[in-house]
Amino acid sequence: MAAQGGVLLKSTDAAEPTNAIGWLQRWQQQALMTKQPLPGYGLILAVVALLGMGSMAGVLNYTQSHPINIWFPLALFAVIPLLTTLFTLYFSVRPAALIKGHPVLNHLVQQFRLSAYLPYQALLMRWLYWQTQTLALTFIVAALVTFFALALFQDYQFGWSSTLIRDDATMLNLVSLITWPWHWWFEVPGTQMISQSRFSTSGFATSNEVDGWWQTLVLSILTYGLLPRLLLMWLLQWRYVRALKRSIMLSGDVEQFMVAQQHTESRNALIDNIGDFELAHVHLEQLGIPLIGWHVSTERFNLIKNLGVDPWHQDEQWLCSDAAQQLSRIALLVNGMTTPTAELADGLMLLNKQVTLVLWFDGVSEARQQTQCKSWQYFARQHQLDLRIGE
Amino acid sequence: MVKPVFAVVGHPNKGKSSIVSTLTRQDAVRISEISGTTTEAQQFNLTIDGVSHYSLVDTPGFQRPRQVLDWLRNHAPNASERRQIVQRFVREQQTEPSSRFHDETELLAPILDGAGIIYVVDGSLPYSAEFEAEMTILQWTGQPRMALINPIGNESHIEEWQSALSQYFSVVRVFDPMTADTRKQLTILTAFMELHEPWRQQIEQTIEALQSYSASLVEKGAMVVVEHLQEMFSHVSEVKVPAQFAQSALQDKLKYDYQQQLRIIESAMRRQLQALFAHTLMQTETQTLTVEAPDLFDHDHWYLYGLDRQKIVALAASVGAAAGAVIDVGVGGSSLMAGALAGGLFSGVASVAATWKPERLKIHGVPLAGKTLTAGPIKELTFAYVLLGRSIDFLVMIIQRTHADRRIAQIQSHNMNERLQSLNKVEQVKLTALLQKAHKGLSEKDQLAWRDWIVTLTKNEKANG
Repeated sequence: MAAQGGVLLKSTDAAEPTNAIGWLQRWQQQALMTKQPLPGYGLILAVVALLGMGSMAGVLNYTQSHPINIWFPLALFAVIPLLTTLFTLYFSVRPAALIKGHPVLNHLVQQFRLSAYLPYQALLMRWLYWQTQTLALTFIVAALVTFFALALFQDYQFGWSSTLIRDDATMLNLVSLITWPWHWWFEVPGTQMISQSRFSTSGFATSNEVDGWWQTLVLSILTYGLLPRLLLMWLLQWRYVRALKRSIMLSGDVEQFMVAQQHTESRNALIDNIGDFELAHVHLEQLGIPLIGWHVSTERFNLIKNLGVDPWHQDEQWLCSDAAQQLSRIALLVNGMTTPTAELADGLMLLNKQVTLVLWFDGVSEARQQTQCKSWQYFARQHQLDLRIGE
Repeated sequence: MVKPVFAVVGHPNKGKSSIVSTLTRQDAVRISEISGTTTEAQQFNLTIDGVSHYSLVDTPGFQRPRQVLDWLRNHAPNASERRQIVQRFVREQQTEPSSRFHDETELLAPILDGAGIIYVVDGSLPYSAEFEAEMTILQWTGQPRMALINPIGNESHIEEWQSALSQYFSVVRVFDPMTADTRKQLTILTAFMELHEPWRQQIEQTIEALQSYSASLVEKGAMVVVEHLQEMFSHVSEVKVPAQFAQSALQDKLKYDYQQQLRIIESAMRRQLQALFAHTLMQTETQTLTVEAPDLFDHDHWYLYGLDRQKIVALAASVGAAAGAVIDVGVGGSSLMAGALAGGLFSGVASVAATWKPERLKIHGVPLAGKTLTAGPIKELTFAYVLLGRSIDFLVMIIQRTHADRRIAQIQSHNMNERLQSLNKVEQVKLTALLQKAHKGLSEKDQLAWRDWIVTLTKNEKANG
């Protein structure tokens, strides 16, 4: 995402990319220049992982005198994660609320320095939902890893106990329901195991028959804790990518980037700021010096020569002739609406005389005259000419 | 497919760079009132979605055309070798370190490399024979060529130019780069097609791409407006008032802060629109946004540690309930949790009473609570329409502006009532309802509807304009 209202830079690499990959690489170069969001997210993940490990270790080591009641780890690592996954699913598909009014999301935005992305809040919400799933996943995975790490070196006994479930048949029904997703592939607790693994504070019959509970626990965590969260994460990612694609199509961010990359400036352009100036006016009749023309209408003026209309060599011949060279001072009358050229400068060089340049405007607005005079002023300055406006 | 390249040539200061600027959508092509601003040939591309469609070569103007023509005539034995003679002239001048024909070499080189010719003349001035040397040199190159008459200021001499130019150029068109809208630019592209058959297919594709690009730019511009208006509408500024005497001064500060924030958002929106429409160097002159709507300001109370009254009461009730629960446990549960209930109720009521007049809460003279003055979000419709109108004014201006136009942009304010007439009654009501709820955040569907209404309003503006 381009920073809001920020200045997009043109890459220093002059060669323009010829394909989409090239443009994406250039985009990525610019994205790296901006601040990366989510500082400290790694630390939060580490804390969540420790929480997952601590919870599992706590559940497994809660009691030494009784077996571990299977309901605790099931509730903590399968049922509650499943419920939170469903909650997240519900809230993530609801129409987006304003982040500013949402205490948790607003906190996350401040915490992870995402304020610059607030204008894209529909996208930001989806992105936050997707990213924060990694927290839940980290918790479950850390708990699972801890389970295997501890179970490798210690013999944990699982059983079940309940105040409300009094008969084995009800427990069997419940366990069958829980284990239904994998009962075709893995062995599930049967009547005998349920009966033998029931315990109360008064006693418990240890038997090899009850060892199957740990598999049920692991499969429950995988099926109800991990798998739904992975599916939700995939769904959220899909929704985010879809929204991002739409946003790219709708917003002008990519276009702004492309425009900035294609911005081309003129090379070695002439930069000369002619400020405000006022030119002196002169009556052509009162000049008192010979008048030569440059691209002017000969009928209207008493010119000794009109330059610029014949082939160059004819002008050149006249300029080098005695007729021209004997003149001590001359006035060069030009149509002010023409533009000064190097050919005129060449003519002046050949003359090599003190020249008064007289601009003639015929029925031209004041504004246009002023504009035209700028070029002539620049020309006169370059060639050290006296510049006037003829009347 | 062959990418067309055109050299834009002509007499100095006739608007060559302006034409390059408009037809390639580049606002950094140097344009000045002083003749001879362009000193070397430079290629500018029209790029759409990262694909370069055609190139225009900005060139310096002819400086010594009669001298060049004299040279060519002296060296050309017959008409069949004219192109080779021009090539020889350019080659020889390129090897000379300080050639006096630098500008002619610069402008002829791209033509001899295969570029088509766009010859630019000033239609406000009468035709004169001085241009014939230039046109003859271009004719000698043998490249496909067209002429554009740039009516700088007025069109009084266009007809005589048309009749003169048609003797040298197969296509002659009138084109004002300062005012040409997309439709006129497409007309010129159509003329390019007629110049050279191998370029036809590419230019047809360019016309198609440019049409859809122009439409999508307006939509994207409208989306930028929607995004920023939403941000402005939902923006809230607040200031805490610890003592009554400071309220008036802080109220002014709040108003100033709020106004500044809205201006910042508005200016960010304008910068984005400028970036989107490739007018990054454009300067604007506009009426500054002022916030006068009284309904924007409100007040609430603040408490120590940033907790609001609701949270303080809830916390106090919880603490009371917890203390009561300890008593319940102490009596073995025989109290049926009455201790927790009573404790919660008592603490809750006590905290409600304590925070009834928050300004009085003090520890050793240090205030624990006070008023929070807030400005925004924007629920007031008149002000919402003012912001919408200002944004549309800017969008319309930037859509209509050509890239050759370097004047300071003046934003014309238009009556929103008149502008709204382009929407039907149902749409007007829907737009009003949308403005009222925009501060709460809008769904994507609402945003798209808003965008489409803005597009309609700008189209109407263009039609009126």
